[in-house]
Amino acid sequence: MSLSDALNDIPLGSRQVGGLVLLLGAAILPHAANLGAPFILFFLVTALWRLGSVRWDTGLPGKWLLLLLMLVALGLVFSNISLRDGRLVGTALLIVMLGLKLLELKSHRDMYICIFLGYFVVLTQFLFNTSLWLALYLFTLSLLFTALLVGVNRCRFDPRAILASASIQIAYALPLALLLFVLFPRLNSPLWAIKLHDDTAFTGISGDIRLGDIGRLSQSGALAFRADFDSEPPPPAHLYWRGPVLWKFDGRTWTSGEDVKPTRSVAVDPESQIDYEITLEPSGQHWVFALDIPTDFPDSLSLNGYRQLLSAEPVEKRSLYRLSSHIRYRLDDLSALQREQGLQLPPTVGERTRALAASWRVRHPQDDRALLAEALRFFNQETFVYTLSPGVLGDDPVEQFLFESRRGFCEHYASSFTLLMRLAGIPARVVAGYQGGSRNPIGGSLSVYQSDAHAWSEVWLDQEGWVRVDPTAAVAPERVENSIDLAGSTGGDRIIFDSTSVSWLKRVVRGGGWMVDAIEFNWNRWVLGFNPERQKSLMQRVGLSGLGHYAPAVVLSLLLVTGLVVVFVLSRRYRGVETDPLKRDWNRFLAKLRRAGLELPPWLGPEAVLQRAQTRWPGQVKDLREITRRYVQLRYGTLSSPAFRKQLRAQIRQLRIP
Amino acid sequence: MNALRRRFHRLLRRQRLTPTGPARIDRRHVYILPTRYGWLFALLLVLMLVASLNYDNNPAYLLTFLLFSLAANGMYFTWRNLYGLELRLHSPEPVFAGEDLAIRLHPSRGSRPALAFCLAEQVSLSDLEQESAAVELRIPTRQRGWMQPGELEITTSYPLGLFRAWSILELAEALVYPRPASEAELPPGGSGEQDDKSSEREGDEEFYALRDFKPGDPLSHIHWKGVARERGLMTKQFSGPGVEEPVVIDWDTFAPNDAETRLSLMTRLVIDAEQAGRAYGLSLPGSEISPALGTRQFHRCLKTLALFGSKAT
Repeated sequence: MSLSDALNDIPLGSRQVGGLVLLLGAAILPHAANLGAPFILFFLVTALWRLGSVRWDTGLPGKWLLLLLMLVALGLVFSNISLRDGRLVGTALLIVMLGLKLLELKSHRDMYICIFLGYFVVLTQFLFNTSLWLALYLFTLSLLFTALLVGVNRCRFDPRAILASASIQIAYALPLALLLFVLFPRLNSPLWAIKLHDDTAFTGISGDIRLGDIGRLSQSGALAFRADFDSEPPPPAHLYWRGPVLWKFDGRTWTSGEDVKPTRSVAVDPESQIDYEITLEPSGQHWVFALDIPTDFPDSLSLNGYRQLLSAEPVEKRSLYRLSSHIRYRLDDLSALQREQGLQLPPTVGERTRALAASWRVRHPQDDRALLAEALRFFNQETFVYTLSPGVLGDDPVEQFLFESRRGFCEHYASSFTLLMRLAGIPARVVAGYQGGSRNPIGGSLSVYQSDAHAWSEVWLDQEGWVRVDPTAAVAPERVENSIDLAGSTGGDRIIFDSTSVSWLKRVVRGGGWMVDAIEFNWNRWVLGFNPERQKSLMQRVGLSGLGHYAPAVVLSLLLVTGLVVVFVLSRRYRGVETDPLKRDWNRFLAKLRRAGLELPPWLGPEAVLQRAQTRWPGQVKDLREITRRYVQLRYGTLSSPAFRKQLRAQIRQLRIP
Repeated sequence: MNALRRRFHRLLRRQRLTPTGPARIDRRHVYILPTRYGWLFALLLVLMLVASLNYDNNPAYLLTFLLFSLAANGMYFTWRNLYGLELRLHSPEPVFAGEDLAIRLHPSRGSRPALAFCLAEQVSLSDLEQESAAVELRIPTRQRGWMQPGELEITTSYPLGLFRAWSILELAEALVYPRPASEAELPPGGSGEQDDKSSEREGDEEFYALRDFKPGDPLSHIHWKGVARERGLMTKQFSGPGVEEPVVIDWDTFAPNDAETRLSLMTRLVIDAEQAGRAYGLSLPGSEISPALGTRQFHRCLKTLALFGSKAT
């Protein structure tokens, strides 16, 4: 007969079983979004069956019924889940098996197995969703699972005691866990090929822009990325996050041109360097949005001929990049191909559009700069409306927009402006990306939402190279100064921009929003964004880059070995924690006497201690005697009032030995 | 496997626990190993690590490392649940063979949940809290004489059940009296003779035996010479009306029976005489006990009977 047998003999309490079923249900619940209802339903049925059997003492299914249920479960898995995704198959199997296990939960052994599998269910949740809020929920569940495990190991099931014990243990475990998290060597490639996000739709800027695309995107409040600047970020009007560069226009849709290699290094003003980190949300695209001209970026990214940053793989999970950009620069390369692409025209161009461009050219035969200014004046002074609902445009959208509706969103302005420039013989292109962002007053990070999606033009001026021109700014200058206030804009015609004159209630709501945003940002940055590169830069910062790839492993082993040695040394001196408060007080008294130079072997009783102490310090007899008498009364007498105990403690504290 | 386990068990240190003083479970006496759940948990951690590595999922790493640290610290918590425990052994009450020997332990105060005290096939499981609690274990006895209760193993796997810490204590031996026969009568020879004497002495205030002093005995009856010889306080008893003659229970009078039966019959007589309040003595080959009455005499006689024939006497 052993301990585990003895614990096994204690029948499983209804509270233990009930707690387990509820916890497992809570851990499985978020999978409803990943696996679909049948699995959750299957688990729910088994869980309710089990709970019912606890509550009303009804029976559990026999062997044959269990077998039948298992066949049903397997059928459910293989008919509903595509076998290509290992995560889905594994998770679905885990859930149905857990459901079946609940129906034959009898002993402590089964409790252990279910709790361990519960931890694993928590892990599978992370494979599907890594948001902060789900993580908080799941780590709370892990704490509760631990409490349940403590409960299985106690004789009496005392919820408060086991919760306290589990919390203390988690608190003690955190430092080592964080150390391992930071220093555990990470793989750059998975152990075996996996395919995530098979058919997930992303919102965000795609490779082609149709008129109306960005307007639609702007109505999504989803986060595109966050940026964290090393120093003060540039003013909002300078925050142009460049995405795809678009050359080909068919009258309605812009697509990218031929890819070119970077020809020349770009001339930049070294003063204008900006260092920052961006945490990109999954987009399913290759674009990495950088400010203007990225000059320094991680090895996993590459730069193409249009100074766009691209990642080798589509960005399918939240990724963190450290970048440097220059915002004052001169882009000089205009190859023959680029000139040709920059002057390409759609098959049909409206007569009035052509005439407008031609009239500008006539007025400024040589001066491209002046022509540009004239064009911007046109957009600024005519009655253009910047709106999210531009209405339906017909066969020739640009002509219709320029001369009839005059209601449009940024891509309408960028498209028509670019086309007009081309008609005037100036090479021009459209750039899609994001503009601005919302600065979080807490922590100072910049959140860029899909509503910040933007499109603008770049035109070629012989003396200046490629120059960014934002016709939207000519129509609605506040667009580049402020973000769009989504909540205010949806109903009306005109777009409402964020500004400072908002009601206090809105400010409070927004303040809370910023707080949440800051917490999420840090979770994304420090937990989700932690990668081998960060690990490397951390090692560099502590001066261990010389160890190369092995640095984290070496540091980790050294720390662990040191920790073990420290623990060993301390344990030799450790006398155990005195859990009896009265004994603790008495020990404090003895320590005081010992410090004063009295030799007291540990086996001496209170009377003997008093004997020795009063012969040594006859002047202190009264105090010493009082303390000893009180201790003896408390220890061996019937008296044990807390007040009396407090007095003893005070007396010991006040005892002064010369 | 079992042989290996026994061999391993023999290698472990153990300390003696006697009624004379407490035993403290110190660093050198706590052993700790993973339980089978501990190994299962290790397997779980490996699986979780593989999943985290493969999907390069940082929250999954965090959970895996948190559980690893929890288990690693759990080893310390389990160890501490046992380490520093002080045990006092209550002097065991002697029992008659066939009865259960009660081993009573007083653990030191302090919160130590789920400690198991295992002795032979007995397990007593308790959550020790601040109040002092006593643990009682009962083991069956078969033979008279000194009995080795065996090894007491104190085990705990609190808080997580992943590790088991244990310590072995060797309990001091306990005395087991012979099993009393269901009934026995004094052989006729001795008792008849004594009947005469008793009638003769009736009314005489004459000394006939010593018994333990009880509060209320007249001072003049105290056996002062015995006090001087450091035998403790004894009261002289005098024969008077209603007091029976002292009886000497003699080994030789139970002649035809074998030794154990004789001892068992004699034990019964000792019990009967003590209950009847009649002074009694023992006569055994090699030892004589003069007649007296009282607890001390009772236990002295029974001890002599229990140890008869063993080298310890």
